[in-house]
Parts: sequence; structure tokens; C-alpha cells
Amino acid sequence: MNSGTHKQLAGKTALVTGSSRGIGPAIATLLGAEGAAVGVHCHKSVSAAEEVVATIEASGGRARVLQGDVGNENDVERFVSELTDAFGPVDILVNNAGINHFVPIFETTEADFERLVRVNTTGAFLCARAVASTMRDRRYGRIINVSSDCGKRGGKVSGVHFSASKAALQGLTRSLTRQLSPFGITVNDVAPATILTERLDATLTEEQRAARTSAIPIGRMGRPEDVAAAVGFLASDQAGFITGASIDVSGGARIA
Amino acid sequence: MDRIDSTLSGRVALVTGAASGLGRATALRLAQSGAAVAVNYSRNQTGAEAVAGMITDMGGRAIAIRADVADKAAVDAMVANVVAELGGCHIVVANAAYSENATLFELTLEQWNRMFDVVLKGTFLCAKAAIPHMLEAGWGRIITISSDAGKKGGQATGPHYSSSKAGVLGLMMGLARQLASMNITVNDVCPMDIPVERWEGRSRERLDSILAGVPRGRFGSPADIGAAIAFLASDEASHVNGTSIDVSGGAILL
Repeated sequence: MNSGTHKQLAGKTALVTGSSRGIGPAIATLLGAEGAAVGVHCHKSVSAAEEVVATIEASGGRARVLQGDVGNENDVERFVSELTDAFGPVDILVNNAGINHFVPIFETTEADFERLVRVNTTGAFLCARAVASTMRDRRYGRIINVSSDCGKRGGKVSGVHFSASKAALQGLTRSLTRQLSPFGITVNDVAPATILTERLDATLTEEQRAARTSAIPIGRMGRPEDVAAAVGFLASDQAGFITGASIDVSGGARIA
Repeated sequence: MDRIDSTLSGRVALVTGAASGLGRATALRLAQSGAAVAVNYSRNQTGAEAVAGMITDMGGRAIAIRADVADKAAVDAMVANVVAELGGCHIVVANAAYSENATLFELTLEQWNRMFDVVLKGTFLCAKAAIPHMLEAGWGRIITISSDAGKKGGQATGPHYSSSKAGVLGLMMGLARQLASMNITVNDVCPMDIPVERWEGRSRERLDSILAGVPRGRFGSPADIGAAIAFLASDEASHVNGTSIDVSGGAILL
């Protein structure tokens, strides 16, 4: 995306929640490489977030670690303030923080249900609310929610509470599209199917890997960079007329 | 009120939020197909008892039963009572909900949480409590109620309403996939532009502008929702699983 010396997100401030592990580091790194000053948010893994910040800084970018619980409104207000004080008001919010839980309905408890909704959905609401007023005042904003194909067709291995929380996140995208688009804020969704994160890569047997890959028309599992590319596009000026959309990053698995 | 058919004879249905509106019409419609019906309410006892009374007056079986669907202990106790009094719990229609307009800027975490507790967690709790009884009977139907606000966003309806109603669709699909091999189907009915009690007081101009967006050229009725739910609950719909039926007069397309 970056052609020559022009960085298309230069001067912008981005907040990427849950960007110390999994898909998040790829998103934070890409936005940083495009010139955005990045808030690398983590819940607890501060040292992993510091490494992401170091990677961005090593390429000449700006970034800082933000720590807190996205489901806690005081934490959210605090780390958004920290980012704003350091780099200016948030132009780009990527609601990426999320947790999955692989259990059948019979073993899914009320506490499990509440925990996933709190992080995967309520966290996105709180972060959006924390940045939306200044986006409105400045007539510019990009909100990008990272959901899941489970929200669109239900997961079988992922719990029903994961599917519910991610579908709810997609519903939040559509609601915010209607409420915020008139103020120059676009709101979109990126829906990954199975992504080969470091953690998944370390746990899959060769058999599981082959089975998963065979279900993906494009013939390989997705990478964090594939998701980051879609997020980067939606954050760019080229995508200024795209709002209320959902981009499947599934290698075709979504239709298979 | 007369019997329509006997497609649900021997089945017991629990309809949440059935004291008024769509839930009331659904309870009556399922009874008209022969189901015994538990008419759930949280506050409107008079309304629920009236619905149960209409069913028993036509020769059906019904009870009014109180529970806040967001309260797990209350839901578990309700389902146990339904099984004890009516002999099973084969059909759950998770209809309980409320509306509360808000913008993102003014919406509080407390409002968000309460909506999610009732609409999304309430659906989960009712389904989860009833599933063991469906497995025991070897037959089950879970029917969720979403909204066009969940599918399309909704302008005045708050983010909490749209998001929790969209979550219902994800929950429905996840349950459908996990329960498909157990003779339990899970589907959704998505009502749009159906005037109910809470529409009272809307101006003629407001109604006309909504009606202009309904290709069918008239508003739907709660009975239209009840009919779709009765179909999904029937044996005829046994291969319909994991889907959502829009009952919108075509408005969902706009």
C-alpha cells in the first residue's frame, strides 16, 4: 500500500485493541508502517506489547503501550486519554481485542457467556463511545471492528457465546454506521475465518492442519497479515465511501 | 378463537414475554395448533393471565409463569415448573425484549448491559435450560426473535438494541450447528414494521412514513409473526435449521 515516501496514514493516531498477540500485532505494525502513531493496547501482556512498539519504532514509526481491560469503562477512558495526550485525538479505532472459547453448549456457563460478551462486544462499544465524540467534532474517523465468520454462520467448535458475541459486534457495526456516518466517521467490519496465529500454529497437528486447509478454497490458512491488509485498506482514504460493510478474510471458506 | 390445526398436539411450548404484543400472538397461535403453552411474563401478570385464560377457554392447556429471563435461577425454576405442570418443554420461543432508543453518545454501560442481559443472555439461558428436556423427548425447537435493527442497524434504536439483536442471530446459528444432530432445530423470526402496543401514540405522519417503506403496502400484524413461528415449530419444518425468516412485507429488502 505504501508507495514511495508517501505514507497514507501520516499524521493520524490509531488505537488497536488487543494488539500484543494474535492478529493484533500485524494490524498495529501495518498502521505504524503507514505513518499512523499507534496505541498498542494489551490487557496484561505488557512485555509482548512493548515488543510490538519496538518493532514499529525500529521502522521509524511512533507507538506506545496502552494497558487495560476493554470491558471496564474507567480503564478505557484512561487509556484513550493516555493515547490522546501522547499523539493527539484518535482518528482510527480498531476493535480487535477478543477471546474465543471452544466448548459445546452443554458446558457453556452463564459466566462464560458474560465474559465473552464483555470483552468481544461491550469492549468495542466502550472503545467506540470513548473516541466517537472527538471524531464527530473533527468530522473524521475510522472505526474497524474485527469480528469472525462465526458471527455470520455460527461456530461449531467455537462456543455459541463466541458466535453470539461476534454477531453482536457485527450488529454494533451496522448500528454505528447509521449513527456516525453522517459525521464523517466510517464504520466497518473485517470477518476473519481461521487465521494461523503463532498460538494456533504451535498447537495444530499435521492432520488438523491438512483438514483445515482442505476446507479453504484458496488452499492455505489465513495469516495475521491478511487481516491487517483489509484493516489497512478500510483505514485509508481510498476507502472513504465504504461504511457499514463487512470484508470476509477467509480464503473463500466463508462460501465453501 | 378457534383451533386451526393439530400440528403441535402433545407439544409444550414456552413463550417468553408473552403477556402482550408478538409474544401474546405467538402463544395464542401455538395453542391454536394444539400446543400446551407456558405464557411467561416479568411484570405484566394481568396480561399473561388473560392470555392463558383465552387458551384454556378454547379448551387448551396453558399457565402464566413469571420469570426475569436475565436471572438464571428464575429461568431454571421456570423451566422446571413448566415441565412439572405441562409435562415437558419441547418448544422455546425466546421473545422477551424491550426497546429503548439512544445514540452512542448518550448510551450508558448500565443501559447496554441491561439490554444484553435480557435480549441475548436471556435467550441463551432459556435455550440452555430447556435443551436437556428436548434431548429427553428426542425432539426440540428453539425459535429466537431478532429484528431488522439487528440485520440493518436501525437509526433510532440504540446500539445496544441493534447489537444484542444481531447477537441473537449468531447465537441461533451457533446453537443450530451444535444441536443439529440431536433433532433440535434452531431458527429465528425477524419481525419488521409490526405495530404493537408500544406503537400507540405514534403520529399519523410517522406511521405513513414507515408504511411508505413497506413494499407490501400494509403493516404486518402480530399474527403474521405467530404464523411463521408455528411453521418453524411444526414437524413440517424439521429440515429448516439455522435460518432466519423475515416477516417484513418486503421491507427488509429496502
